[in-house]
Amino acid sequence: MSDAPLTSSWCTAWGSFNTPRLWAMVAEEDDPDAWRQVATWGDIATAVKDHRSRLLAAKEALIAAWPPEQNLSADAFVNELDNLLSKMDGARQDADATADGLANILEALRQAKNQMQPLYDEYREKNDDWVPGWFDNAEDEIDEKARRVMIQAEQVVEQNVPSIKVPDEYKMDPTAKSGYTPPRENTAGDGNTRFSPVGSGGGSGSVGSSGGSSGSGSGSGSGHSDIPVPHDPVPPMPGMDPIDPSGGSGSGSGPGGGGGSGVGGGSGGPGGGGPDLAGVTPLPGPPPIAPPPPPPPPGVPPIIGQPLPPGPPPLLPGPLPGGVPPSISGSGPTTGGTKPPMSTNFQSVGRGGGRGALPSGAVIGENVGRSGGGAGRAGNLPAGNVGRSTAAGARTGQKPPRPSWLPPDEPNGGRNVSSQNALSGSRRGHREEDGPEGKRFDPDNPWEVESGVAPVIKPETGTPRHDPGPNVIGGYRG
Amino acid sequence: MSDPSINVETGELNNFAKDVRFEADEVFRPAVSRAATTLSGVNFGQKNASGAVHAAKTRYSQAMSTHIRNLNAYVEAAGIMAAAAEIVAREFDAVDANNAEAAARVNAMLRSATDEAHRKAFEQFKGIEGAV
Repeated sequence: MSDAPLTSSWCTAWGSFNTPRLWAMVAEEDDPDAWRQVATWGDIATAVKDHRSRLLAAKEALIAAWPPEQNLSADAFVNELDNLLSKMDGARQDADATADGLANILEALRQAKNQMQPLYDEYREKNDDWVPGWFDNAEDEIDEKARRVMIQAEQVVEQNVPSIKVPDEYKMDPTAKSGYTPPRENTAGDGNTRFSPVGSGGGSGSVGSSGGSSGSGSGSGSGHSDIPVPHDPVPPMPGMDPIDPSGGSGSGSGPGGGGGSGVGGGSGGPGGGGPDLAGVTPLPGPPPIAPPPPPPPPGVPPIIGQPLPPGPPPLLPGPLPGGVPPSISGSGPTTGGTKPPMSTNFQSVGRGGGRGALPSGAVIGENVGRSGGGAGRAGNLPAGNVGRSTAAGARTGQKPPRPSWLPPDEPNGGRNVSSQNALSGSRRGHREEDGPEGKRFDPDNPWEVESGVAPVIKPETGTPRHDPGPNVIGGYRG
Repeated sequence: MSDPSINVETGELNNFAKDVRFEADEVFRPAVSRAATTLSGVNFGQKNASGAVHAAKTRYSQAMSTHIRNLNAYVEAAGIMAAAAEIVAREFDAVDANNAEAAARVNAMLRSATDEAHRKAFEQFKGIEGAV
């Protein structure tokens, strides 16, 4: 048998994966082709068994006519035939065992998929609610459940790996028995065969005059495989190791804090609580500073140019088709579509955002106090979200692109997802099923803007003037 | 050279060769070919980060590869046995001797049949069949 791994290639740190990632691992399981292979192994076992039975019958007829007990030449022939029959019997058993082992593995992965799907849906719902994931950590419990599902499946797989039988390579080699060395140009039955006694050292003297056994791939190592092993694992959460160096099962180990450096413009804070965005690579964001806004009445989405319901922030400008970067009317001009909105909005905050200090939780660069009904709302928004949004999608007004490892969500007839927005992530598409115009506020992406639509806000045409306002360095000092 | 005390029905050897060759070529080989078509890839756990799943995939890949090679080898071996039986029947006088030399000679014939099968497979593989 092969020395292929019988248990596990490594110990997986399941705590490094959240529910969307775990779902991505099993979403493509239950492949019909895989189940067809189970049936094929059964067919192989049957075919080998039938073939062996016929060979056995032929052998019985042969030895009746050419008894090996009376004839050494017949004995040599029958010995070779017995060796073949023995190998075939082992192959039949191996095929049966492999079919069972493969079926168990596929079933374990199928069950993991079936158990993971509702968890993933629940995760998305939690992620879609009005309470940001960083605030209530509602997804953590789901993550733990998802990890338990994977651990359970992994255990079943591990138990069934030995059932997959890798037989020793079979090669008919009568030379080893006879010590015969065929002539270079010899063909069967030409009467010019010659042989030499078997050496005590067992030297086979195989010359291989016929150029080769290349057609049958007679590599001696049973571990050799010319069938590639597809392995494109879902990456772990950023900064986490997919392999558990301690060899533990990984259960119960949380993903750790999601803090760290503030890619999204905020510094890492205490207890990030792990990733919380379904379908996107979580960015370490700062902790909440202010509580989340109360949920507005359902069905009242924030729409550009209209009064916003309580809670949603004003929308950040984003690049629009044609390369015209919109800005808040009356605010400083933007210099181009690639300019970060942070600098642009810094001006707008200082100029028209009110004389007072920024609201609690607001970050310099937000459109605080602008755009009419949205005044002050950004102050209620957590800095974490703001920072994340700024880093992840504020420049484009969209969420980060859907990660390649996440399979597409199953089409849902009740969902009205535009083709463009559907690419932004599952949560977005999910959100748009509600509301009079198919829009709802996304607390995790408060600066979401429409793309591909006519601009409702235009850049300022006047010369920008830098005025940081009060309570800012260089401002009023009493 | 033959041992007259042993009554050998060479017809049975030919029957053996015919039956085994038919079974190998017409029944078993197509079954192996169908199996090889299906068992051509690992269809599970591609995105799974589990070490156990990776081990299963690796082992399953080796199992498929080795089994298919062995199944083809069984087909080939059956053909070799059939060819050898035909040779024995044809040259029965030369091998029907109850001594070590006769046994070695049978093995030599098997070896010759093996080489012949390999040669044909090689020529088919290289697309030069008929060149010899």
